[in-house]
Amino acid sequence: MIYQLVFDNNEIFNGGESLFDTKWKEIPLNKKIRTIIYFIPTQAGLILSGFEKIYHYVEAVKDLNGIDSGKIKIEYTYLIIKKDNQYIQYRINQQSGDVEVNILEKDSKYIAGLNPSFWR
Amino acid sequence: MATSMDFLINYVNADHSKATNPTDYIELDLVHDYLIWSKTLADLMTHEPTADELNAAAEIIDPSIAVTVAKCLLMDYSHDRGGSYYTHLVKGMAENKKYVYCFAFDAATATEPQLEAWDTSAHTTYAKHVLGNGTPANSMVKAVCTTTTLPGAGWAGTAIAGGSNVVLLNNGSGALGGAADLYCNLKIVIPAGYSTPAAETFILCVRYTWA
Repeated sequence: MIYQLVFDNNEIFNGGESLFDTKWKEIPLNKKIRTIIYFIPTQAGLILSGFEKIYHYVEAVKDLNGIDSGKIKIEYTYLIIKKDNQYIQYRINQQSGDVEVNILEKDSKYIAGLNPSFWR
Repeated sequence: MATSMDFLINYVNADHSKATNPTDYIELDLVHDYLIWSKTLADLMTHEPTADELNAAAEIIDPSIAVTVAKCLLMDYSHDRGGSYYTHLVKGMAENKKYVYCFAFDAATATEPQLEAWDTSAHTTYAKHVLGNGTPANSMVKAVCTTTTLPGAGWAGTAIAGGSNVVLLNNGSGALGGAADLYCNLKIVIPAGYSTPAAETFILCVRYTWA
């Protein structure tokens, strides 16, 4: 499982088993997420709570030529939370399990360019 | 499910979009097909070009003017379009044309897809001469997003190399809301009098995301 959610009403939602099918879009929009437990390869899970909203995505690279041409390689996954009027990004290396934490500018083009339908 | 992306080239008319004229495009079989950048290699060859043929058709460095590599051709392993042809000229490459290289996404993305160039499939270095010899701004590979507009006559484009010098394929408008065809134009410009002739390969790739 990639992640597990606990809603405010104590219901549990289990994420997908594969990064190619995360089930993120199946998370009900009408339920407030209290906590996310995000499972990371080779590391302890990342537990986040107290946020206003949360965003998740998988980043892949597809080569158009060369020895890995056509393969889809997942390098990172990302969690972004909005908390205390700040956007905090967790960049998770899917090979090493390292987590890089970045504070994002709330008016940045990056934030504006995210898909609004994927916030939960 | 994950969003998927197909890569296609226009081999008929670079004024035609994939939506209106899908038969103008060939989808690359990325395991077997590849692009060839050349000065004189022939369109519609009936065999896969040999190394000798590629070398004989290579672009030549000019001592006093920058040279744009004259042709980009698709090497079509299945040779099943319009006869039994292995090479197809990419129409509109380096010109003021919009519908040249197409990236077809089948669903929404979480961020804006981007085109990148690297030394190898490890996506860690950009030290090859064609990619600027370590200085991305000097990359000979120029790209421009044409998803919404023509690139303009004599377009300069962005020198792409590494993870910073990239081209956003949705014209900076952010993530895709659903399935969409994005476009770019590409060219390779060899600086005047470049002192290191080479036959180099580099990796073109698309970085994209899903929720």
